[in-house]
Amino acid sequence: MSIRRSLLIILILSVSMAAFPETLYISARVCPLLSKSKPAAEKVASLTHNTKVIVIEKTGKWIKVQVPSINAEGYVAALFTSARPTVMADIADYKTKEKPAAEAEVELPAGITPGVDVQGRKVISFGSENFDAVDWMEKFTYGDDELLEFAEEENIGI
Amino acid sequence: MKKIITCFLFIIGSLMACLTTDPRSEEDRQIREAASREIEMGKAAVTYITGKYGIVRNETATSYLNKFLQSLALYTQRQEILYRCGILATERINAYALPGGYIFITLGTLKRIENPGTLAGILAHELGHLNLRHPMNKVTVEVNPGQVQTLQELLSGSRRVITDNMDLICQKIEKRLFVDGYLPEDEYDADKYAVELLEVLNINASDYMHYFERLDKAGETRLAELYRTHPPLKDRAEYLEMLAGLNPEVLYKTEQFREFKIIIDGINLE
Repeated sequence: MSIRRSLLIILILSVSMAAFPETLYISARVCPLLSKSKPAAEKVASLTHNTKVIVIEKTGKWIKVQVPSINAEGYVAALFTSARPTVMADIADYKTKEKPAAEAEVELPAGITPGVDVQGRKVISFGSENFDAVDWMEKFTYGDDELLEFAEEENIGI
Repeated sequence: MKKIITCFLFIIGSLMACLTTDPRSEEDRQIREAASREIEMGKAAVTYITGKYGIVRNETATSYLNKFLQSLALYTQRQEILYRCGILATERINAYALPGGYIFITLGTLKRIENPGTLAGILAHELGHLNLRHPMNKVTVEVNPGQVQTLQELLSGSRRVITDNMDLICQKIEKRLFVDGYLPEDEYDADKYAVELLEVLNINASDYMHYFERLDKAGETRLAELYRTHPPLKDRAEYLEMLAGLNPEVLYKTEQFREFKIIIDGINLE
């Protein structure tokens, strides 16, 4: 009796698993949905970050998926997916803001902690640090559209 | 009957609690907070390292490099940080991934790159270190006597601890990247990540592989740091050959790449 009950439970669980196919989320900022499991294949659509996809079949580095939001099917690279939704930084938050005048920098703005925040360190530290380097590097922050255009010109995107 | 009603009310109450607290947004908030602390560590390390080694301030070259890096980074898993690249003003040959998405590639390395495929490989390798969280998990600091913690562990603690130890954190990051290096398996994992990323982007990894072979044959003295901090170049080239798929697309030199190379080759640090 107990064996039959166990088998029944296993059967119910199997049916339940089949009834709820695996769901994944796009972790990349952009993700091409391709017609075949190869990078040179035709692009069916371009998926965005955290788009929900339903797994149809896993074939090595590629996953055949169904995309409910656009009602389409195709392949995505497994590397571009995640089991859960992920967090994405907003580029606008990180674009270099207009620098305050030198005099204004002496007084720390609210929320800036001396030592941990670079702006705070700039005021209190007298070491050999190059504080302008952060501004210099952050100046080169580009939006997705600009990057996709560049990637197409340089053949580094799909 | 009473029991059924109690059960029903309990389920409804639990559901309401789930809806109001939204565990997902709380988790997102924690991830964003950890990312902001990691970025502050990265910024401090940038000021410390560039203060010591200097940074090349060429707008066109740095712009090209960042567009190249950020185009590859569109496809990486860690999107809670942004990726930026600077050219370190030294003729030594190496590249470094710092916390918070900051990457340095030396002028010496860029001068030895002959094609965009190699540049893609090097940048994808550094993206590998960041996406595999090597800077956060492999750099350790002793915040109190006998209490050694990774940078990742520090993120969940008090912000004050990070503040008080920022100089020590910067020194440890520099030591790990410039002196000790990561473990050989970490370097191979970053290479594996790079090859997988390039492959799904239809970029042939052979240029990256040949770059190692070429450097190894040249046997320059400027390679001393790379040899000290990484596995032997010959072994890495063999490993890459084993991983590389049958991807046919080799990146050709575009006008923008040629212009970038002319600028880089023309920069003289002396």
